Amino acid sequence: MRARALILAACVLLLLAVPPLAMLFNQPYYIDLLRRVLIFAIAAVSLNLILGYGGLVSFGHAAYLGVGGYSVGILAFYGIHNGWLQWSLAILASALVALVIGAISVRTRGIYFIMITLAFTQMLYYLGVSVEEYGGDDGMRLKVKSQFSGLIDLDNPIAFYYLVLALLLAATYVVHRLVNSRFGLVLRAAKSNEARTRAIGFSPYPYQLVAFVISGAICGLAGALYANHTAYIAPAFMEWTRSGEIMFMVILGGMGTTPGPVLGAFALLLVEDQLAGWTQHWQIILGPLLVLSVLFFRRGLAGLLPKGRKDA
Amino acid sequence: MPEAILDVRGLRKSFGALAATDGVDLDLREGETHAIIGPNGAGKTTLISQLAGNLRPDAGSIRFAGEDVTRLSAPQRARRGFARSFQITSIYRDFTALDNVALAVQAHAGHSFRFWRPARAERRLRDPARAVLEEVGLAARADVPAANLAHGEQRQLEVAMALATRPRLLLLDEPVAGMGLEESQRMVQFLSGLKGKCSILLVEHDMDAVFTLADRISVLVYGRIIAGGAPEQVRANPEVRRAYLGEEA
Repeated sequence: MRARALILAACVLLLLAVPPLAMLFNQPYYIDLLRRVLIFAIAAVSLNLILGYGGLVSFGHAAYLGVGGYSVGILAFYGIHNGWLQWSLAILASALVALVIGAISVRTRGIYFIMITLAFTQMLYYLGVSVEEYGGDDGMRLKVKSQFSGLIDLDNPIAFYYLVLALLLAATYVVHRLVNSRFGLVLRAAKSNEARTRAIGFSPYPYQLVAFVISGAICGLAGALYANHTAYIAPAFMEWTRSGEIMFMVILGGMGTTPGPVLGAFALLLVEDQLAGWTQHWQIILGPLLVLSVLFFRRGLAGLLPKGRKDA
Repeated sequence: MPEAILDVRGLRKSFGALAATDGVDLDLREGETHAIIGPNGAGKTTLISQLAGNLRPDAGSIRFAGEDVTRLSAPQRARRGFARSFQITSIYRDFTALDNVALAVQAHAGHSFRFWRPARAERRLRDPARAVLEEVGLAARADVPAANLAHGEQRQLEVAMALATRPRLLLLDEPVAGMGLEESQRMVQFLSGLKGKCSILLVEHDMDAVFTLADRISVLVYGRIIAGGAPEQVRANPEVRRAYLGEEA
C-alpha cells in the first residue's frame, strides 16, 4: 500500500514538474506532447469506468471525443467563445449521445455490444464528413480558444497544461470514488456475475446505462480539451482506430484499476512518439510491441506496481 | 391447513418438441421444506429457473404470497423475498466473502444510485453481512477472495448470500452437489436449522439430504409430478420406486 502510493505520488510530482523542466532545457515541445497524453488519459479513464469496471466493451468511445470537440467548434463557428458554455455543452451533448447509444446497446452483450457501439460511432463520423458547413472531411479551424472570463488563458501552453493535469486528476478521483460506492459495486458485480446479481435483486441495466452516460460525459470533456489542444476539429476525432487506441490504453495499463488507464495512455503515446521519430514505418514496430505487452503483462502495467489495498 | 406461500398451477415450458415442464401443479406452505426429486433430465432445474424468474413459462401461473408473479423478472421476485442457489455455484469470485454477502445486503437496503460514499465503509451493509457469515460459519474467511475458498465453503457462501436478503422463499438447486460426505452433512445440518424460519423449495439428488430435510416430497419425471406427499408415503409409493428410487430401494 505504502509503496504503491509513493510511486503514484512521485508520478504526479513529475507531471507537475514537466513545464518548468521543459522550459529549463528549452524543449517546449514536451509540454505539448504531454498535454496531448494527459487529454487521452482522461478519455481512457472514462472508458475504464465502463470497460474495466463494467465489462462493457465499448468500441466507439471516440464518438464522445468528437461530440465534445464539435460542441466547442460549432459554438465557436457562430462566434460564441465562452468556455463555460462550450464545455458545458460538450459534457451535456456527450452525455445525451451516450444516453441514446447506451439505451440501445447496453441491452446487448458480447460481440453485439461491440458492433453496435462501433456502428453508432461510424454514423457520427460520416455525419461529420458530410456536413460541409463545418468543413466536412477537412474539419474546421478553432480560431479562438475557449475563453474563461479571463480566469485562465488556454493560449498559454503552461496554464493549459496545468488545467488538463488538474482535470485528469479530478476525473481519476471521481471514477475512483464512483467504483467504490454502492453504485460502483453493483456495476462491478454485474460484470463479475450477472446471473447472481439478478438473483439477489439488482437489475443491472439502469446501473450500466448510468455508468455509460457518465463515461461519455467525461470523455466529452476530453474532446473539448482536445479541440483546444489541436485548435482544430475534424471527423478524424471519431475514427474507429482512435476508439481502438483508447481501448488499448485501458487494456495495456490495466483494466479495472485506478492508475491503469493513465499509465496506458503514457506508455502507448510516448512509445508511439519515440518510434515515429525513428522511422516512418513505426507502426510495424508498435504492433508487435503491443502484442508482446498484452502477452507478458496480463494484468496491465498497473499490475507491475506493488499491490494496493483491496484494489480488486 | 395454512395458506400456501407459493402456488404453482399448470406450469408448462417446452424447448422445441421437448416438454421440460408439462403441467406442473405445486404448492409450498409457509415455513415448509418441500423437496423435488426426480431422475436426471426430469426438468428440475428448468422448473426452478421458472420459479426464480430466469425462464418465462409458456403457460400456467405462479402466485407468491397471494400475488401473481408469473411475469415478474428475477430481480423483481428477489425484491419480494425470493432467493436462490444455483446448481453450479454462483458467487462473485473476484470479491471477498464479506463483499459477496454485503452486496446481497445492499440489494435489499434501498436503491444503489449512491455514487460517492465508499460502500465498503457502510456499517449498515457490513455488519449484517458479517453476522450472516458468522451464522454459516465463514466468519474467519470473511476477507478471503471467494475464488480462493474451498468448494464446500463456496456453497456455504452462496447460501449466506441468499440468507442475507432475508428471504421468505429459498430455492435451493442441489445444495450438497459435489460435496464430500462431511461437508454435505454439515450443510444438511445447517439447512435443517433454517427449517421453519423460511420456506424452502429444494431440488436434490442426495436422498439422505432429502429425507432428512423435507416435510413433503414431489417426484418429477419427464416434466410431470407423478407422486407427492410425506417422505414415508413417497418412499413406499410403488410407482416412485419403479421410476426413480428403484436402484436405491
